Amino acid sequence: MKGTVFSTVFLLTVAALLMSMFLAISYGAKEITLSTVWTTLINYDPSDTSHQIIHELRLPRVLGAALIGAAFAVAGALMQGVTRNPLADAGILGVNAGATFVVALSFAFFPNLPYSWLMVVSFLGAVMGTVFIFLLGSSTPGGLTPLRLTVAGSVVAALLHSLSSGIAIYFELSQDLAFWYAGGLAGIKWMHLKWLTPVVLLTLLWTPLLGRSISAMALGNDVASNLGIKTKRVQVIAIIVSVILAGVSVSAVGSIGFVGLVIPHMARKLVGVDYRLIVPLSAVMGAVLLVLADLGARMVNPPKELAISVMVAMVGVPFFLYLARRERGSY
Amino acid sequence: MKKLMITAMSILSLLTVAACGQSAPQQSAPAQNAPAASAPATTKTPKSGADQKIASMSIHLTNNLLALGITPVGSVIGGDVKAFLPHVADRLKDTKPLGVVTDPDMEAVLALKPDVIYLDEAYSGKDVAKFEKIAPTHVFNLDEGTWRDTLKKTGALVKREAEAETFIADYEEQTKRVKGLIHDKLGDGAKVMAIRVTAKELRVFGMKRPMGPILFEDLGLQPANGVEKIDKAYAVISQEVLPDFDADAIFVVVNAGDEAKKVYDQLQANPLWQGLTAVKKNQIYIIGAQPWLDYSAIGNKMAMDEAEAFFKK
Repeated sequence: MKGTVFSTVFLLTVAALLMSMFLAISYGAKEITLSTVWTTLINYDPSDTSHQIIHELRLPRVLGAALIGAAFAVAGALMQGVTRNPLADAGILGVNAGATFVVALSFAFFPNLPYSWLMVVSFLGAVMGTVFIFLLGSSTPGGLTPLRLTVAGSVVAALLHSLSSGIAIYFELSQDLAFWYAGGLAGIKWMHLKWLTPVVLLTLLWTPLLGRSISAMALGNDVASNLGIKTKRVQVIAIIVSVILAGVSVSAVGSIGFVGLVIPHMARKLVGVDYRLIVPLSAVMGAVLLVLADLGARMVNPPKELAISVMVAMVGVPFFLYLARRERGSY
Repeated sequence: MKKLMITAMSILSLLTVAACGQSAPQQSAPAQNAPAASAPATTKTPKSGADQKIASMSIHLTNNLLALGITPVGSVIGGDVKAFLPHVADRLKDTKPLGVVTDPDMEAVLALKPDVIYLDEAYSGKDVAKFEKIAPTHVFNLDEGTWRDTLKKTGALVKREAEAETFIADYEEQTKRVKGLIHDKLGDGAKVMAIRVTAKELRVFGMKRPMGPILFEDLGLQPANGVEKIDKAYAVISQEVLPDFDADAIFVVVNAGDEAKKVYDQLQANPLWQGLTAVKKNQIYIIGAQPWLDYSAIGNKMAMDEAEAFFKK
């Protein structure tokens, strides 16, 4: 019975994803007929201007939105599971704070760093933020409890954010840094997708293996231990997976909050507490949310674009509230 | 009792706020007719002509003064570069920076004790009363006529009308030469456009200053399809419609900063860009934000120098 519900919801979400992606590819400043869009997708002609517009400007952007939406959502789902903290997302791992801090440093001391290096550097910053938080949380007697992880995460994130602000003010970089931080999907091109796609997809393939253990851990570490689950190991693997997913996403598009927080909750409302189902559903739903949000950001006041994070909140919050009201269940 | 106190306090504070609200329009009332009032103010000026101590609250007015061989004692700085504009910085070594035009450093203006203050109506029109308390003030509207009219007006104020006329005559002479050079290079009926790449958006310059007058009036170039409809300084466009303009030559301003450069690099790598007529004809001209976007006598003159160098080759 539960299997059928999941299959139905999952298939519907995948259909929604394909539809919203097609919609997003069809919409743009230049009017292009749906049939041309379709021809481009199945039979790309590199000498045709309309085909070029779709292939070079719209397609990478929409694919990037889907990938990154999935990555943020899964990272959030894993973190909520292993920390049993309903407000967790990859942000408590210091991913945004670490990346921002290192980017601020590189703006200040290596202002001519090529853009591709900036992405590598910001990813390393995200990883360093997490390692720092992990070490700080584990160094206390009693080891890394979910609460410690959350507290250490908040403290380190606050510290790194204030240091970044300090650097930005001292070196007069506030504008550059704010611009990097706000990010957006406009900069995603095929060259980014070339490495973003394998990293995100390979990491996502790992996650179903974690599902069963995390479901048990969501009931509490004692219960999970009694079921024979190596909680420490699962925790570490979940953190590594989350930081890779969120880290590459942040380095590509800046900080897009809220996807990782809200999508796992939506998934949970739809399919229950089994993380073997929550994780894949979160991936597809996160992709839908980000594709639609990016489409919305482009449609509000063309050809200018609204900040993507504003749009994510505007699309995501009403639906989230609706679900939360309809079914005040537990997670 | 406590409740009563709170109510009383909030009423009091409301009244205070209301009072402030009333006084504000009273202050701004004289500012509105200030341009008219400023005309007779010159009579109070102790010195006149070129030896006046001038504080210029507009980078463009500063550069008009420089064109007439006068260095103001103080001037606002460029908002983007947070300094005097690079193309004239060497001539402003002894000039006191007075902040950015949108947020002028009034204390620095006060400390300078200028004989006269020049204002741009578009930016400082509302604050004329404040400046008049410091020194007699002249308000310029840069949208009245071209930079030539502003230069002539300035020339009359500082008694250098002849210099203004010579400067303009030299410019027209040079423009004629450059016009010929461009025609030799681009051929008959070439359509041109000017774009600006910023970190956030792509802009096409329209028919109004700063780019419209120099390209489409002074140099008499033909605007690319759709540019003639942009009846303002610029319009934001999507990269998708760039081919629709079908320009034979494109002047490109790339903003300072890594993000803008990155956007331009990506744009150049895009097959859509590589397919543009202007790119195929190898007629992309990278121009500096300064002097091209400095709509002043010196700005346009230096832009014309650059254009002459481009098309001479």
